[in-house]
Amino acid sequence: MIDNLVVGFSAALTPENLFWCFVGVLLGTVIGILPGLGSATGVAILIPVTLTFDPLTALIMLAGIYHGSQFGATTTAILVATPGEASSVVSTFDGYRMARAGRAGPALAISAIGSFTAAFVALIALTTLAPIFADIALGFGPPEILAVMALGLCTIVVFSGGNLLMGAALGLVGVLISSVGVDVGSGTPRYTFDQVGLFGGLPYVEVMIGLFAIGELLNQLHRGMATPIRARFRDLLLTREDLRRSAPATARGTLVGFVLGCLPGAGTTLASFMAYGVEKRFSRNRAQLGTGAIEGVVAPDAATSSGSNANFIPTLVLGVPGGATTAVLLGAFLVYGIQPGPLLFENQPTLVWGLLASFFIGNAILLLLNLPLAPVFAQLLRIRYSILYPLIIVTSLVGAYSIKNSMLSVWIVIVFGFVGYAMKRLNLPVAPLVLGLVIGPLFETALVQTSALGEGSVLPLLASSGTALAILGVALLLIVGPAAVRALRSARRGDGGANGHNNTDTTGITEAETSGSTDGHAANDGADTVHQPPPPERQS
Amino acid sequence: MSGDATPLPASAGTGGATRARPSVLAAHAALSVLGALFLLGSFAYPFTAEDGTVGPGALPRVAGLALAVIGVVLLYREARTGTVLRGDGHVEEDSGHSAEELRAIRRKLAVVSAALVCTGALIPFLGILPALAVLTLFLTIGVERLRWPVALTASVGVLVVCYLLFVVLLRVPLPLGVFDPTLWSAP
Repeated sequence: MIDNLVVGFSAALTPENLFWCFVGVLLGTVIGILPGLGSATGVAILIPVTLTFDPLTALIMLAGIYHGSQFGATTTAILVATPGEASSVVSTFDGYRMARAGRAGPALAISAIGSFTAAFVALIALTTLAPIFADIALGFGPPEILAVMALGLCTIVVFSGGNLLMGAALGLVGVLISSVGVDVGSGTPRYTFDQVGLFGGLPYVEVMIGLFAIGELLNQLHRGMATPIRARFRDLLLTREDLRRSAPATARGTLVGFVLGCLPGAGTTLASFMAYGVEKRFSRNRAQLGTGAIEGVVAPDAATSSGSNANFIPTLVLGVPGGATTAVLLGAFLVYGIQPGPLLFENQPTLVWGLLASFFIGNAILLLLNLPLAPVFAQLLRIRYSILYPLIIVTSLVGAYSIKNSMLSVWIVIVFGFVGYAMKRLNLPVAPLVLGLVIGPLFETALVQTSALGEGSVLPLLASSGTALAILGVALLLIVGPAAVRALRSARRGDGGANGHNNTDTTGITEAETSGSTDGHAANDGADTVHQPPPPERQS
Repeated sequence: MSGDATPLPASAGTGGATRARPSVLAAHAALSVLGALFLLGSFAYPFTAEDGTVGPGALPRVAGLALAVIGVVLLYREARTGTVLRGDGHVEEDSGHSAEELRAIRRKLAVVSAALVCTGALIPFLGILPALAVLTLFLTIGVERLRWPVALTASVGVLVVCYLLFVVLLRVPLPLGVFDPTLWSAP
């Protein structure tokens, strides 16, 4: 492997490749910052530009765009609650709160460090264990993917705040919205009212921009507009405490992202949501999540970064795209006359190892570029909101239009902006809706495929797969686990009567979870009105 | 609603009034109606395909039914017990504003919302960038009462930056409306 990496680095470290890697990362960061223009669109738009390049140089630049846009999307999510991509939605929950508390610098910096660390670990795993993970991923058929999607839907529990029923309802709204468009199994148009524009479904990126960017903007106007943040320079720096708290969260996020990134189709959005869910269950500071906890920023970002690298395992080894962007990149491979698949490592060692080496270089450039820029980006919050919000509207609408070059996208953003505003005013959690919207089509695809495999039956196939059963077991634990633990504890204490009535409502929320309204705020993203974020930590 | 407005018995003693709020009732009713509409619509599609596999009507039917039922349960719960407003931004915030401030806020929200819709309608005629520049100018001068130089700088700046990013760099074919040269060069 060392020999291969030496070959790869010698191919990637030419001045030309280094230059285009830098350009790719920089362009990717800009593309990620713009709402709507995600990595998949950015890579697709810029493929024609690279047609005259050497294939390795072209792929290095496109991979740079991919990695850069993943990070850029987080920047605006943290600063102005406007996620550039679906995978950065989770960053708004705690990142935006940190920014409003004058800690945008540490939030952006830890995001860069967490992303880099996760990418580095994922790349080591990718270069050493890619064939093993590819074999495992190959063992994931439709029943197992269905189980993973069911697990993903169950994470709605984590994002429901205290009100599980409301979370479930909004998750179902997301699933139902995602059912608009041509059905994956039969090709039947559903709920399209003969509008060709709706055949592709209601695009979740536009819905997300509306819910988060425009919804939050209207909410801020309702609250009398946010005051400019004038943080002291030392508040823009990471503290030792920040780093100490971030380390385990980064590790957990990296693991979750890598595992889900290996699975074809699971995508980084699910990884970021599940990483946040894992933090809500296992982090020492889980009670602070949703109020501006650094773990809530670093874990999803680490998962996204690790997942976006792991996405290359099925893409390179199996020729099966791991997500939307790697699907576009797969197309780029074919444009350059390269056939991804099991023989790629043997037939094109210089290209593959050069590309993998460029991932290391690209992520290092990303860190070097963004770490010093974090305090600079944070200065955006010094702009008066009366100037900032028209700019947010403009970039949101142009970004939405550019996704499909369609006015329908603009209208979807406007309509869902009003929906997002109403949800914020009513304190309804937005995350379950987004989760339902993202997972709905994946769940239905896996369901149709499983049912086709089982000739109409789904349950026997699920029951015959040990992996699927194990995943479903985890999903079940996620739902009933906390209630079971609570019941056991109160039975042990022997006071499950009156106190239990007062501290536990019909939805099964614990007193610890409701105190400080942490869950509700986590689910509710930017509706921060009552809970004061913790004061800035002492600088190291 | 969510964790910070968890329904609790009035005796819970959190200090907040326990009552059903019309806006929350309306939201729950809307959820229920949405579920019912999807449920009814799903009957236009088969639950199973001809070969017995899951059909196009299955997911919307099940999800629509579940949403309709959950909506009714939420509605019943809110009507019966109300919600203790524990950290609920909705009421606390509004109660922090004077009546005049509230009127001003509502007026501004209505103007910004109407401006958004009008901009959407204007884009096919003016083109997206000019329409959004006009929107920026309107919001900064008409709504926020900023000084002309600041407002003009913001509007022109946004126009130029978006043009450079989207048209020059990313080559996105943005709608030009009446400024489309092909419209004027046609015989």
